[in-house]
Amino acid sequence: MTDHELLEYAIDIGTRCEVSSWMDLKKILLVSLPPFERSRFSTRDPVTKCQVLNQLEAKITKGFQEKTGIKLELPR
Amino acid sequence: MFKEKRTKLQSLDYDELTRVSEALCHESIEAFPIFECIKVFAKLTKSNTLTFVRHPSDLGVEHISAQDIASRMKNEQRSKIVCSALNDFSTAVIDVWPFAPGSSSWLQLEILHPSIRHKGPINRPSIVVRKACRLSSLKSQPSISTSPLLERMFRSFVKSCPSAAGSFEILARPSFFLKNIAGTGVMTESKELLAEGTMSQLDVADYICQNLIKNNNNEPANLSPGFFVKIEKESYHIVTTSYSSKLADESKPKKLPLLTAGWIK
Repeated sequence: MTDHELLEYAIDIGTRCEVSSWMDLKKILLVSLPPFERSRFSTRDPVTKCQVLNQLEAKITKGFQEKTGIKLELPR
Repeated sequence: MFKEKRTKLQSLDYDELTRVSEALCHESIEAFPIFECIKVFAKLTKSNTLTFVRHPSDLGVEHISAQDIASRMKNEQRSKIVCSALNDFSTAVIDVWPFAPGSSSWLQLEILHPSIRHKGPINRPSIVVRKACRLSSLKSQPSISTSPLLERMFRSFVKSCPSAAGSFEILARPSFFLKNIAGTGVMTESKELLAEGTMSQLDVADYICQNLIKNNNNEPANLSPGFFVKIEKESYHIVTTSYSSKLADESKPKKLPLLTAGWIK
């Protein structure tokens, strides 16, 4: 799956499931994507347990906002 | 075969039976009808085609086509029906599949047809899309599991699901709300019978099931596969003993008398 295909899929599933936060969308994507694609997403920081968006995730949140007009709530 | 654990009212103890039957009779809980059907699970592979499984041993196989899964059935007529239903379903639903190709999430399908019948009502040719789930062949884990997230995605699929696939009607997540049967005296009578001890607890549970099916499904309780409900994360199957026991009896092979040989003095 290319980044563009992944973004298209995220927009499709995100709008259908009416997501409002990045964590919501990320969980849905992780459930619905095959194992290899799942490995491209970030994991929590092992010490602070904070969610830090990687390049791909930042691209998805930005693209999602541009296409749908919905600004996803990001983790603190 | 993949089976889900559902508790029958007949197996509950006194307190549990009272609590659950009160909820069933007085609260309008969402209930899911059970059909006499052929159950198949479908998943979208990386190559954008559907693969099907029926048994835990099928999980190790990368791709099982509709033809393959249908050809394993002994009854030729049923095999043809399953094959055509799954092929029709594939073409109708593949564009709105809720998961990405290669995902490990499955959809539980139930194929209904007039010829797929044991003793329940005659069903129209339809495909029931029951739910989204994960499957496991490990004995230590439940074989069918679901999560709120999967259910949420499945609900979004239900909205976009087509209403027909070829000659089969598609019923996505069929459900109904139980009628409030307060005032019919079912609960009062059941409690009295239990207190008097004139009827066994199993018979009382059966009496409650009969009334629930009669009032909600409008069909003879002894010929109805019933329905299931979820109360506090526990799944309960509402069915009469007369329906389920005959099914169990017929599925058992008939025992032949033991051959004996010996000397008699």
